Amino acid sequence: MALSETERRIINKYQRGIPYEPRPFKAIADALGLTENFVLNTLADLRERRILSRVGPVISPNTVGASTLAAMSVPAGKLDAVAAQVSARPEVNHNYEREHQLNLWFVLAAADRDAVLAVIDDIEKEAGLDVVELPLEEAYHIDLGFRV
Amino acid sequence: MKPLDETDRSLVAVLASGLPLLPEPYAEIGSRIGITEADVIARLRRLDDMGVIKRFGIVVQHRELGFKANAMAVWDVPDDVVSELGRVLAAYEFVTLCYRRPRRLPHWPYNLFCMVHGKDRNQVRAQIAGLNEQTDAGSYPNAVLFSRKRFKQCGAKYGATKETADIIPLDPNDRRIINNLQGSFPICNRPFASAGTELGLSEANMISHIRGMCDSGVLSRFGPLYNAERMGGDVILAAMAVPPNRFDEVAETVNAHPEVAHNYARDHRLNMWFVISVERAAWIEAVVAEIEEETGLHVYPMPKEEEYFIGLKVTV
Repeated sequence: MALSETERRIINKYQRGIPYEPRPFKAIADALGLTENFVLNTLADLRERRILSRVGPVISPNTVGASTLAAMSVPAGKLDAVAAQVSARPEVNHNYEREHQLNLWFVLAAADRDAVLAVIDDIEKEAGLDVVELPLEEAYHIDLGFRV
Repeated sequence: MKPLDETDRSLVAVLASGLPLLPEPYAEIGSRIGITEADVIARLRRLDDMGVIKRFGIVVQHRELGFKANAMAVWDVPDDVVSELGRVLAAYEFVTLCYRRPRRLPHWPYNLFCMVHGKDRNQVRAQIAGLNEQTDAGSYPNAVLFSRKRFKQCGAKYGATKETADIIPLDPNDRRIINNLQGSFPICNRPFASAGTELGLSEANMISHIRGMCDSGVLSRFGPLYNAERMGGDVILAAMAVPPNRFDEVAETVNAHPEVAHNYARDHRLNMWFVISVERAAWIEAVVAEIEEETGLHVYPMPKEEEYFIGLKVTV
């Protein structure tokens, strides 16, 4: 999807460092030589076009609550149904079909490790399938956002 | 370092769907969880300093930006060298995440994970080939798992307390739409445009807000509530006195009737209350008789004698 030059500037500059001050969008506008209203409208428009998911924090894994990556081998005919069951859980925030014997991959987050394992247990029972659970052991990447 | 308190957790939970796009977003966020703007800002600074917040900014949807292909590239790297290789791979710009995770033999032999995004599969394949050629990665067993279908992508909701985790944040336009459209919805060929005019919102904006609220479960459905009586049918409230040890079994029997719309346990000798709705008024009796026969218990139908109020609306 095409981005205007201004949209590109806003996205590339503010995937981190939205100011913690009472009028953050005014601060952004001032830094880019735009008006606060223009920045707000641009962000709302990007959201309507589903380019912007949200403006907010990306939380480091396992600092607030616990999260994990999990995968299942789902028979092809049941994939949509099982995926829908998995997606319906509020704890699941990513859920993708991938090309592998383990063909459904999802990320889930909850208040603590026990809560994460309880959700996995529920998913296994509901689907009648085993879940391979792959918790984070070490993170190497510093998330700086995504250049567009 | 001071651990997170309940308010920090509520703050993180309420920010899962992002800042409201308003001039004073932190004040609005504070009002949703009962703290001041200054407190919101102070807490966010602290969470950022602690490294709990990895970044605070625009989160994009890769696919909508044309990064249509994404692959999870994985390697089985000996434990004594995996950290070093992980840091090398993480430095590549197109590697958006890089983690070590446990192997799960025999199903899963790999321990190093990278997410790689690109415009198309060929670009992603070329980028991963580059990682394998330019680093030691290529000397270890590996696999590339392209994603095919995205079923869900949203911000993580770390349950703070049950209560705050269940609250889905609404922005002011969501609220205005809910408050305005519960009573009536225009019947015309562009209803969203027409309803939007009154609220000063574009048709696309209305649809996007309503779709968002349907997706998040704020709206259980969007559509008409029928008046069964005027359609020749009937709706009645009914109650039963169910022995406590049979409650679940009886509830299941009652709920199995497609005519039963709501069924609640209430604190009274008559402890099960449900609504029966039928397309033809005369069918009520038959449903009541069936339930009585199946359960061996008396059903007390409580038909409406006069209607004083209809049109349940909630102001949010």
